[in-house]
Amino acid sequence: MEIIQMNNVYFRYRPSDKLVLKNINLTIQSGEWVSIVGHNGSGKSTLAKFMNALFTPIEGQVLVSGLSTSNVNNHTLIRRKVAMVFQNPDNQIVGPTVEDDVAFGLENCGVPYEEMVQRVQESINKMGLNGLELSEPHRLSGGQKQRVALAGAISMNPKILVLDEATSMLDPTGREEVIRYVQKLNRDENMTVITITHDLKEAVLSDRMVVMKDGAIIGNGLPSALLTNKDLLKQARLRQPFIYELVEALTCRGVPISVGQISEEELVKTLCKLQQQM
Amino acid sequence: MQITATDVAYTYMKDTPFEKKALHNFNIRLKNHTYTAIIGQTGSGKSTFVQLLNGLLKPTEGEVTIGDWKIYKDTKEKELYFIRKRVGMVFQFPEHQLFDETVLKDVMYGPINFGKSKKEAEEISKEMLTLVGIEPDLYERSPFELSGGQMRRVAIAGVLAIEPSVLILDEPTAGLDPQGHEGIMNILFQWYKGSDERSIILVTHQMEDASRYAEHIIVMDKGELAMEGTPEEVFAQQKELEALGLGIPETVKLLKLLKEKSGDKKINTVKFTLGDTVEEILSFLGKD
Repeated sequence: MEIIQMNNVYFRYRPSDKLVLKNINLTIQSGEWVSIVGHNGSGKSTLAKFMNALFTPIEGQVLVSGLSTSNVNNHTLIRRKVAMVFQNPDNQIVGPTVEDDVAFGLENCGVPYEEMVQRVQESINKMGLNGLELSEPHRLSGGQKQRVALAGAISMNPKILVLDEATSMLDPTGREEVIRYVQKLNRDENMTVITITHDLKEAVLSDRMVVMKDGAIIGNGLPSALLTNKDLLKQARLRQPFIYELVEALTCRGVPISVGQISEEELVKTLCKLQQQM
Repeated sequence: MQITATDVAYTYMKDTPFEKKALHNFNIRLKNHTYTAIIGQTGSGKSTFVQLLNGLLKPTEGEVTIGDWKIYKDTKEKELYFIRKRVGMVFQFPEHQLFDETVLKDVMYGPINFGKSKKEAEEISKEMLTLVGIEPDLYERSPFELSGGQMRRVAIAGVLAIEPSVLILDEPTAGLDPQGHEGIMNILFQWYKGSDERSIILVTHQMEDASRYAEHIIVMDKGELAMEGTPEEVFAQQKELEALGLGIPETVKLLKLLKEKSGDKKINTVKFTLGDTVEEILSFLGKD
């Protein structure tokens, strides 16, 4: 089932500005994990803001669960389905304590107290914030703050989770932890996940990768296919993940490896075999 | 300038119910003209430590020295003025500190504030804007009309224009795309190489940057010094780093895996560039 549909979407901020999105056509299926990649200023974050009607197209149409974002009456319903987490947690934390912050959205929606307490605790557990329930968010480190923002988003039981560079400020362990959890939400709870990132290592894990440049989509397909397309990546000003670079460099030096091998384990296995043959 | 920390401790909100020890028993000695990277998990005390180096925080115990200056519990604000003139600081998202009408005025604010004449300030500001790759046609623009990458460069030029001897960088490229990241890292390295009076202290989560640019690496854990040494020394200790929740550069990780799987003890796993890694693999295959 299509959960997000964008048809011929165009957008500019003011009538006199140039277009920031040009003829965007994108369909996202329910339960899919799609990563949207591109350099700074490519329009990827702008695009994300169409998914919960923060922006609406000047031309074309965006449908979320079949509801048009151009109809203001749909906005409340759409925003309950789509949770967003942004890059800088300082801009999205409002509560005086961690648990208050996580409860903020639930409280706004009038969730009964008992259920709220339970859902807050659940989200806090899932994001590994146990013991910090009563801490003041602004005293936490950047990574911890981001997990608070994520816990708040998840507590609303959204259908779609949009992460706009939400891991870019975390340390490697924190990043892996968050991604692992996002992966779990996607697999076990069939949540649709959209990650905006320029970390291609993160994009590799998604089902589908959408590459943006100058407000247009220039690539859309399996990450493994797009990541071997050097021209596309160069155009998009993105860097191939290390393992792809390495395989290519080795091939250039006459080491017979097929480009399909992408995991470190597979590459090492092949190299060991090759050595024994020599 | 030489930088030392002797028995330094820092406690946030001391003597309150919120008391939190961020740093304790911390000792460090950094030679003049070194590029140091500080790595450690979120909350390990990295940012607290660097904030002690220009007196944004004062140690609750022990002392920090920067050249001939000392920072301890009772250091007066007045003395910190001189330290701040020598120690420049670039935080995450430095563009949030932009404020003036034009790019040039914004960069000139620092040097004028530290007593330079308008003419001198303009000269040094233009020099630093050139260094960070901002063209003269942008000087009279509002800094807020620039792209994210350009704003960051202007903000960095503003710190460099103070002509610090020590530059502290707290994840200076957070949020930038790969090209923007590499551009800024190279500019900062160039600045460092520009004079042998200059030092850099880089706080980073990216092991690739720590291995590529730094000569000295400090590993922090729970407010203490966990490890210290050259990139080669530090990244050879994969198990210890993993126990601290830290990674190693991708190049080292792959070569370690190859060494384990093949049992070939001759493999040198401490390689930090793509080229060196390729050579090491070729020599493993007997192809060199």
